[in-house]
Amino acid sequence: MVAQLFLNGLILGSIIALGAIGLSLIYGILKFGHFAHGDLMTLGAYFAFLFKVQLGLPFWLVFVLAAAFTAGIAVLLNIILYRHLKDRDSVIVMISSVGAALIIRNFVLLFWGPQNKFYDKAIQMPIIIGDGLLRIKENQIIILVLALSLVIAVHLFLSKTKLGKAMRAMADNIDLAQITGINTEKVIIWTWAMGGVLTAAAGILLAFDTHLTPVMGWNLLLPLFAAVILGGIGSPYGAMFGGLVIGISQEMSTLIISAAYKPAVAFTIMILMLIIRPSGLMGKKV
Amino acid sequence: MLSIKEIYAGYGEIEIIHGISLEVNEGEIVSIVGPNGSGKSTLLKSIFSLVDIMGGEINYLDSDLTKITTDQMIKKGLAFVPQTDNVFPTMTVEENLELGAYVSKKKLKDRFDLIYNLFPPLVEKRKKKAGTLSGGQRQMVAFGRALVIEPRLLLLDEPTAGLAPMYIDLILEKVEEINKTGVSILMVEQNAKKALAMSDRGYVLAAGEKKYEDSGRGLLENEEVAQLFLGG
Amino acid sequence: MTFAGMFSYLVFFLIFVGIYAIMTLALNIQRGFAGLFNIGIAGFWAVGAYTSAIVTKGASPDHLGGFGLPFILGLLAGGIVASILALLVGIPTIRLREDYLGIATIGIAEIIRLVIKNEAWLTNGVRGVSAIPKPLAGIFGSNYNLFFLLIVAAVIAIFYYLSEKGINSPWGRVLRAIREDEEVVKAAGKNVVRYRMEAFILGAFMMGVGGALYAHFTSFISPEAFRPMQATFLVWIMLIIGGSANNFGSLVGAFLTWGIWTGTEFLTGMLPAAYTTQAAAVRVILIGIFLEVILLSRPQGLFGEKKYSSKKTAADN
Repeated sequence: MVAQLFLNGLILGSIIALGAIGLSLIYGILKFGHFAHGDLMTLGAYFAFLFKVQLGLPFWLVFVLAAAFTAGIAVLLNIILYRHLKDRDSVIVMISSVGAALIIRNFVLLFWGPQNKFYDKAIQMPIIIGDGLLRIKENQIIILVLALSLVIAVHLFLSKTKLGKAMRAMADNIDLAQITGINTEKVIIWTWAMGGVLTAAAGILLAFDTHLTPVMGWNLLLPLFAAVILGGIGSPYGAMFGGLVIGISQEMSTLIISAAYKPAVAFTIMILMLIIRPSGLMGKKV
Repeated sequence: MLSIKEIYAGYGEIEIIHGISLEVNEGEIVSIVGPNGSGKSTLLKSIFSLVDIMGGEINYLDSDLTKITTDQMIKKGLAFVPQTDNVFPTMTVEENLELGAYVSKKKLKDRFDLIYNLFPPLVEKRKKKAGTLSGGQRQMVAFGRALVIEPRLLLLDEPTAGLAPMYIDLILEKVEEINKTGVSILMVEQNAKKALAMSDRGYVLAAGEKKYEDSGRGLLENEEVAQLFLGG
Repeated sequence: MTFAGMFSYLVFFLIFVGIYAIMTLALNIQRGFAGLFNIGIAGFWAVGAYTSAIVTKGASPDHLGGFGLPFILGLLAGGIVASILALLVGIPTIRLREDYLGIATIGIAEIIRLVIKNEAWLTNGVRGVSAIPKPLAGIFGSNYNLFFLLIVAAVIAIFYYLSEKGINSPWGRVLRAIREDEEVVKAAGKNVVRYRMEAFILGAFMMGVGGALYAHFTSFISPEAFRPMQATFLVWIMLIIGGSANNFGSLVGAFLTWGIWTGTEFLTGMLPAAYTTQAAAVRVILIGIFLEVILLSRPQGLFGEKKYSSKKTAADN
């Protein structure tokens, strides 16, 4: 039982981690919580639905297109909205992102309707490991492999490429980044693009694991923020770790509390973190 | 090489610098001293376009600095070490230095050796995150980051601020060493006496205006200056 | 439509404007005066509604009840429980940045929703609480709504008066000073966190009362009955349109926004029934775009921030 919950948590945690990386970088660099990040996740999943189920394109192309379109919307949101608002009150830019979230969510509702959707209606038989100890579906193995590959790719990008280092530098200390001659505008655009790609991937994996609904991403927004705060705002590695912790805690909490209250677990962890160590596990001092 | 003419600068609608002119010649160490709130940091920041320029010119070599971008300034050999928050705390010492080379197409790894020679304590810390270092060591990283690109003019904003006494003399010695390699220095310093003692020339500011201008020695021996600004 | 019909609709419309106006006045204290970011308004609304419903109803097999308290006590109870909630949420978060409070309020609204949905012994779960007593229902008969409108207007008047009084008091001046320059106020030795917390709790109290009024008017509440994010978002639009830190603006903002919102409902109501969900989605998209346009072009709203007198600031500090 415990092992199964742990595995489920690992899968959910990987999805949260992917969504949280971009959210953390945006938070660290632009200094605001992007409340539309969950709905970008939803958008990515539905773009994939459009390309896969409605247009019948091959899976790899579906992934690339959905990620690219979501990245495009993310960059567009920045250019049209956030860029103009972020220098005012931080509350103004956050409320605009809440508005963007509502708009995206309702666009999805408008075009695809409220019913659950699936990439693939076929029911998968789980693979049984260790005499019933663990049941894992083929989809879930693919999810874990894909999530891990993406995380490795992100790590290589952040630690080995000039752009990746510039991103980390800007999340660390944006004024100093300007003094070193980093083109801050360009890096910001790439941060949005990367955030869009990763959150779209998270959405696709989530839909792959369960199903699509217009509120799927919004429902994960709180765990996403909890993961970011747990790991430390502006720390992509912290976000990865935080995502896994939140996912695993949420699933394993059902041993003690009713499954209906799973979302409360992420919230509780986040509040505890804010009380004990607001800068998070790997972040800078708040 | 640097020539500031009647610069007016500040933040938004608040003007802090009211028409100051200043020069740095090649090879010199020039200090800007004065009481707190006199605008010394603002003047330095205005050279790097970090504050709002309301009037005047800043000429460096053959360019007007108010009209070019930061990466262009750095490519022309201008470097700035801010007073606080002058390292990337979650990045390693090595990565901090690498970022110094950001605008260059080359990796400049040989410059790293030079910097480790200048600041030996950093050698064993190269893989450590800059935020975990002591104040003095962080200052070394901040210097190192600015020096990687082989600047011709180094702007220092209170390089000894907040440092333990042992590090103050060390850092100022390093500044002299750097100057001897051909880097011109323009620094704002709270430790006015020590700064003027090692400077070719100096400027004394008060309330956003230039009050005195002379050689370093000249300002030290100036009784008025000593009384008003150097604490007797 | 007959004149009586139009009048009846107008009263109904104004009651909703009134309840939203109370929410907006409350948010104005939290955001306009104290700079806080509360996007969990729906949570405080729900708490106020359910608390009042539970304490005013007679015994019921469906949910907790049997207290049978009078209407006024129901309103107060709703306000008080909402205040307690605000206290709990505020303690770990108000001393930190605004955005942390924002995330926490979304969290608390979600947890409230989960509790309401799952603790059927308390709230009857998704089936909701019905037959919530309307005060003095028997006496007014068909003119009841007009009477209720007067109750709502009275509550608005009280809250408006208290809010204006509050912002011009020494307490209010400190709050305004905090918004201008927090560091200066801290240096003067004031406990900034305490002032913010008080504003948060005061606003929450008002939201609880507003929620209670809603419950007694509609007589039936359930976790699915309203869309929390929509309601929360509408209140924010009302605040921004009217002009933050401006109580009069809040009232106007509530009136205009609710007018636009129900206006779009009329328009989409003319479409065939098959298009209901899509129509609802389009309305939200439009109102969302409307807010973004306002934020980009006229963030100070219609009336901007009201300049309150600051004669005594130096003496206070």
